[in-house]
Amino acid sequence: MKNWLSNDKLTLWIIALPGILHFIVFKYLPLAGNVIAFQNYNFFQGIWRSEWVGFAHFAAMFTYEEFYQILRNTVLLSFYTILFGFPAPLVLALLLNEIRRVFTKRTIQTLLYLPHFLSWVIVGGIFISLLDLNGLFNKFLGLFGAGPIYFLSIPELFRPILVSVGIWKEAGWGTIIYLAALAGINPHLYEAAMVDGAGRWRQMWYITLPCLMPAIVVLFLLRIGNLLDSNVEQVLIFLNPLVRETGEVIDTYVYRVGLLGAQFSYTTAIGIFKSIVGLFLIVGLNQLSKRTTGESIY
Amino acid sequence: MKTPETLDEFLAFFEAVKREDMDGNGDPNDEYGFYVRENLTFSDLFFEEFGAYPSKWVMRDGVMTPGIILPEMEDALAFWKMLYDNGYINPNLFTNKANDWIAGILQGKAGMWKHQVGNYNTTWNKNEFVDPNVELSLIGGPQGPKGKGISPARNGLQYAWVIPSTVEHPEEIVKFLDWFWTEEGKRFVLFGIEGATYTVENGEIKWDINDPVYKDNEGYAFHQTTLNFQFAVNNMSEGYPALRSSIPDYDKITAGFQTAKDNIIESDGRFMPDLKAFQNHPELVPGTGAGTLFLDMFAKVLIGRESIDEAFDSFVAEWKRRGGEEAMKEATEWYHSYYGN
Repeated sequence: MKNWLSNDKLTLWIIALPGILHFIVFKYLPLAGNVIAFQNYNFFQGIWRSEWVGFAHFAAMFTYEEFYQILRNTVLLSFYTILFGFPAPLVLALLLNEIRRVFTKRTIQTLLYLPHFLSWVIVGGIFISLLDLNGLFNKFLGLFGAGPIYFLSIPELFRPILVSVGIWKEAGWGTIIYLAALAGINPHLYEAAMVDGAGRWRQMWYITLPCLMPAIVVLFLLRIGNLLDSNVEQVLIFLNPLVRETGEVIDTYVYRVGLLGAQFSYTTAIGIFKSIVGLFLIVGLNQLSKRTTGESIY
Repeated sequence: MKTPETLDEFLAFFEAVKREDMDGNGDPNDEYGFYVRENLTFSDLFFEEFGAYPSKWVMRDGVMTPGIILPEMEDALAFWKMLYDNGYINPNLFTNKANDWIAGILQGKAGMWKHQVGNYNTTWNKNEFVDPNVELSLIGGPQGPKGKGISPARNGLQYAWVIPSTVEHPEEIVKFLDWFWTEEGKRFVLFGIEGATYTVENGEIKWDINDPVYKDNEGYAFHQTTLNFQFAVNNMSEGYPALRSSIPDYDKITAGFQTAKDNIIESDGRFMPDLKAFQNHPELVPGTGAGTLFLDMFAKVLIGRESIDEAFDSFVAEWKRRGGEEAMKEATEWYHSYYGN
């Protein structure tokens, strides 16, 4: 009995078992259901009795008129979100790290990550009101005599608005991981640097960032796999007929197609497409990262 | 002011709403004659009056044509643009979400809006309005040069009960459903549970819509839409004078239902199933719901980004090219096979 329990390998397996089972049952087994992308899945007939159509749905997807515009919108929106939204928590964490008084730091940190818990319906509603013709932003413009601008109707402003509101909502939450990593940096390094005459900026560049690199790379690689996923809730809330040319993304298109009568097969095909792209991105960038920075997720 | 009936009278009403500063706060520009919601939900008025209700189909020259591409739609577009330019409708109509729309109306920003009669006592209850002296009327749609109507006729089927063939005792389910039409069942559906939502005094049923059990937790909505699938004010309520006295403005509401009936829009496409041609092209669906191609054109025209003629012509061409032609063919075939002529 004692021998059995003190066998570390076995113990580790037992501890990991529930998690592994969870992944097998809820993530891997359902992958088999992806076959419906190659059928005309009929809910009442089930998988075995629905007719097979091969790649018809994929063909339909690629020949869809606006597919490339939608794909472009999705990629651009994700790209901007990553470009501006990924560094934001890092910058915030670095700034917060400089605060001496623990009480101030904790309070600010808590206030910053509160919006993460609000649903997009609420946050969207708030910002739509703020950006409205009678909203706060326009009243502010009015002070300078500028006419009211219907911000949400301008296609060029749609992505900037989405990215900005997204940052407002999520940046605070993202600082948590970075702050934890920052706390783990050996203070002796900073002391040694100060002795060598390094100023604040040099310390940050030569000590803080390199020490944070593992966390940054891992988070970035995880983020990049979701390039083709957009935050559906957010986009749907803000989307309106006037900004569709920049605002319609793959997920909102899938939402509308789904509305028109349970297009399970078609939407699964689109999902497979997104997943494959995500897979290539993660694998490719992981290799790249291994060779350049030495960090990788596997 | 007398109830407007023609389009011009409605326009005069809208002008008066602006002029008279309806909510009395000194700003004549924050009331709108017709309060519009995003995606034209519950706001698709002023289309049928010109003969071009978006989601209806008409048999024209032997081909089934949807309202969105009828040439009459240009007149409707011009009218809407005029409403927008004159401030008769709220300029933020494309981002006016449902909650904001309701809130705006309750705050007194709307001279007129479109909704379901049944919500007279719930969503539009007088107590919900900011102005305590508000008076609501349920009126019919305007008579336009080519038509009149508020909502299209539906299939007549609200829902269907499905009993799977694998069920062991289907007759029990049928008995349960039959119970709803017995005296006891009717009472449950209309009034709820004795002692909890209504009381019987001297043989008379006492039921009050303003009872806390209804006001809290949206009890009324839950009862009337989830439990009472017949809705109180219909033929199930015959024989229950208690209902007449306990629902505030019962007569007004019943008259409102009649008005709604008188304002039904007929469509040659009634009973038509979903067309295959639209399956992968949701943007083409006639109407203002899933069919975004129309709504996008409508939005650009209203804001003034494109001129009506150009925008409409290119919209029609685009709609036809993307699959509209097939859809019309499919619809025409269906029409002949369904109506047999």
